[in-house]
Amino acid sequence: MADDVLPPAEFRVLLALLDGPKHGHGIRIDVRERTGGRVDMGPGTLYGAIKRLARRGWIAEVPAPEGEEGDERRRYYEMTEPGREAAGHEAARMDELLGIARAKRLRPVGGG
Amino acid sequence: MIVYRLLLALALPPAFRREWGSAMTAEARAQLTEARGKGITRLLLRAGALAVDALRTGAREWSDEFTMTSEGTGMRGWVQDLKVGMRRLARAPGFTAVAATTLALAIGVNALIFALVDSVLLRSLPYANADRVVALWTTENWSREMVALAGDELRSVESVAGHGGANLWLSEAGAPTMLFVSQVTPNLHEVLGVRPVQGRGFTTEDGLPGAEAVTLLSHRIWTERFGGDPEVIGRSIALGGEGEPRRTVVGVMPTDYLPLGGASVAAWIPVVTDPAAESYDGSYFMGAVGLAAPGSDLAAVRAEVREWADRMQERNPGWFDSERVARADALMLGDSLVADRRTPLLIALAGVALVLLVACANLANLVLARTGSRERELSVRTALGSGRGRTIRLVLAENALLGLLGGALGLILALGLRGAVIRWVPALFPPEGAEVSARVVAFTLALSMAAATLAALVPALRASRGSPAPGLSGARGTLSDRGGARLQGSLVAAQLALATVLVITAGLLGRSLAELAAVDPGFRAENGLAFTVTAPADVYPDDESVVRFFQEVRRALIDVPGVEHTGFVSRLPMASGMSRITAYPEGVEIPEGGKVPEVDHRLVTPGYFAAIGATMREGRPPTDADDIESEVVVGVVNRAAAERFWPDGSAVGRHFMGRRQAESGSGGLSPWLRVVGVVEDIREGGPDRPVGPALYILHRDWPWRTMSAVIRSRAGVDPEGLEAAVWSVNPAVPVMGMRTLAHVAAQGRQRVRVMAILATALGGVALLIGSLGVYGVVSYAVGRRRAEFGVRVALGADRRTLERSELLRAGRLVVFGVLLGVPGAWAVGRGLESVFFGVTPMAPSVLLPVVSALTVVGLLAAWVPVRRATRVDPVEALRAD
Repeated sequence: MADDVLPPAEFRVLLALLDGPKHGHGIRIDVRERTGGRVDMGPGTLYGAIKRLARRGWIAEVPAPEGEEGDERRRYYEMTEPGREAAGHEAARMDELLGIARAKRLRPVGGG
Repeated sequence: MIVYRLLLALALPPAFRREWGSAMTAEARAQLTEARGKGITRLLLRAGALAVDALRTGAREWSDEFTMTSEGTGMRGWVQDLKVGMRRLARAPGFTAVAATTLALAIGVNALIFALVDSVLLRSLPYANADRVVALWTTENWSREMVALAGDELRSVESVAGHGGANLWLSEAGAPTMLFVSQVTPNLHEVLGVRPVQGRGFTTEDGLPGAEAVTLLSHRIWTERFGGDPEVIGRSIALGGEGEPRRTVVGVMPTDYLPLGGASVAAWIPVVTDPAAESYDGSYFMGAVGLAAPGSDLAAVRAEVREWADRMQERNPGWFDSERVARADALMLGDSLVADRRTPLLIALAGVALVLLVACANLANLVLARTGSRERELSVRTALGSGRGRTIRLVLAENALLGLLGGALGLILALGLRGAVIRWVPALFPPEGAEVSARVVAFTLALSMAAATLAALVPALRASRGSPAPGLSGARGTLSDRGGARLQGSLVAAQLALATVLVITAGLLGRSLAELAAVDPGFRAENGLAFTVTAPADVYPDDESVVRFFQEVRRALIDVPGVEHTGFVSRLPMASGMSRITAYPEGVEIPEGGKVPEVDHRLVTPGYFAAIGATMREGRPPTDADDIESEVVVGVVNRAAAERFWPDGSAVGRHFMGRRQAESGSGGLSPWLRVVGVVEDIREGGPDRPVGPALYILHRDWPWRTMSAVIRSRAGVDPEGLEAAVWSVNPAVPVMGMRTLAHVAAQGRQRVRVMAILATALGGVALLIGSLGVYGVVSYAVGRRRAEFGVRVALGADRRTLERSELLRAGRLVVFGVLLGVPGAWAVGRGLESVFFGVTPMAPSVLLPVVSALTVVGLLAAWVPVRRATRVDPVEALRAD
């Protein structure tokens, strides 16, 4: 597979969905918490990424899970198999890059 | 929040907004509420971030719409689209055929006109100095001496050269042929910047008295008559002219050299100028061109030429009158060569552009109908995430291919038409014909593809709008909204309007033609022939011999069986161009500094007036017996002259005074010419030119070398017999331009005739395409409603009433379209007013028949599908859905 880059926003959405289906707002909260508040996706970025992931078939819309049906307006998404695979590829790619950086003694700057 | 929603409305593509807008708004609201809880600064920052996010998303989503998303990117996507497009076109042969044909018709005529424009207007002159060569005082006939004088005196031009034409016999290397030879001052080719490919060009020595007679050959004649033999240089050949029976070939001109005087120029001979001579008798009718000096531009040359013309008038007031001097001007050579062809070509260009518009409207309608019926398919594609941009691209690619196909067919059509047009309307073509060059081909194909793509643009945009639900659930083959039907209707109305403009213009031109033909030419055009004879200077070097020559030829012609009357004239009627002289009529006061009257003059031999069928009003035509001994010559004036100069009393017996006497201002004015007769006006210029005063002088008293013979016969005469008669006097004399007097009379109508033919052809094509358009649209519209008709008929409706009401609906559209074209036709008519004759732009006699005819045609085109649809079998119609 070529060295295709997965846009960061999309990757973050995929990561957020790794531990179960979420709605848009939930994805945003997850991303924000896991980056310690540093990354706070705006609505456009968020839903644009969701749209593109959906089009590629890496996430799919699902009905609201048990216990949260009250929120009819919210659309829930879960990661698909191809999506999981894509996320895995991206992680591997980053890992490889990180390995090269460490081997050359590049110290990461800023927050992790 | 409202602000946010507004922002979304502005920034985002509609589809994205419809899908995600509410989610985004909800999210934004949540984020703002959060931020508000943390203080006003956080709130403002968050609001700003949301705005930026909205704009960035907007940019990103818009660009996504128009680039590739899922199926291939960039170039790869285009190629795929083209392949898909080709498959689709192949699977819809009906649509492809009609669309391609419509386009081909329009593109065909466009390509033809492009070829003409390219050949005539756009081709750069093949002379090295082309951008510095200026045509000087083009309305004048230059004499050799004038050319020499201009060369010496004009500062803004480096050198001045003259060129003219003559027909000479070549009796060498094959049967004697008449060649068109250009007589030039030796420096012409230097001025133009052209060099021979063989041998040498002319030098100044070649133009001096007593020089050896030389000639330059054109490439064509060199290959055709002399077999391309390089040994021809230095050979002496029997080519006449200027009293020299033989000439030495000194060079051959290049093959791509386009001679001044046209492609038919076969050779050049140098004009001999005696530097000591001072005559300005214009005996060497030439045009003059000059090479602009370094640093001089056209404006400078023009100013100097005008000033020089004034000086010439001062030096020679009898010869240069104010009106001629006022016309002194300078033009770039290129402009002067195409001047009179530019306007008709530009008009033709406008005409074919209209036709192309009509075809585009047709195509747009076809695409609308087609994408309408594919709307379901396209909607599905859009729902599956194909992206609006992709859909648009598909439709455009398909139509670009269609444009290519139509363009190629059109070019083939143009090539076929070209041959036919050259035969029927040669006046529109340059001597070289209209070459379909690579440039023309490329431009035509590009135009065709652009037209097809543009025509498909609006339908494509509509089709890709992708409101999936309506498309997916609707009946097959429908345009899902009224807007589509309205668009189709507007396009058809536009087509009809354009076609109306063209047809009305054609009608007006046709009427003008008829009116021109109805003008009394002042002579009888039936049962007559005319041809031109030149007395070669080598055999008839002086005036007396020329006179005797023509007298002998006339006697020989009279003896030809069938000839009733015959005579010669210096220039046939209905000719373009004038021969004018200043005249001093007896008893007419010329105020100080006023304009001396000018008259058209013609030289005639006895028998001319009878031969041409002119009517004498008073007196009699001149004969050879008149006043042979006297100094005063005889002549005949026309009615216009008689009424102008001698309104009270008869003109017969009056005189014109001699120029010289009048100039010197001496009291005694001595008569030059006595009027012996008054002839009814003959139209010497075209039928649309007013008749001016004219004076007919005996050839004996002013012997020109080239005269036209007019033959009148009762029962027809054999042209070969006439030629034989001329050759019985001298077998080497060229006999040229043999034609009937009817042809002569028709000459003045040439320009209008050409335009009428053009307008009719284009109008016909536009009407054809427009009718196809009406047929197609009505067919589509009623086709949609077949089910409805079926139901109505099944419920007992009368077919005929149904037919009538449908026809009325279609009829309204047709009438609207045709009437829409009337103001357009008026505007065009105003523009062409100078070409029309005897008819106004809104002439009811033309307007009413044309509008009625067009309406009938349109209704017919609508009636066929309506009739077919209302004949529908109700069961069939209901089942088909």
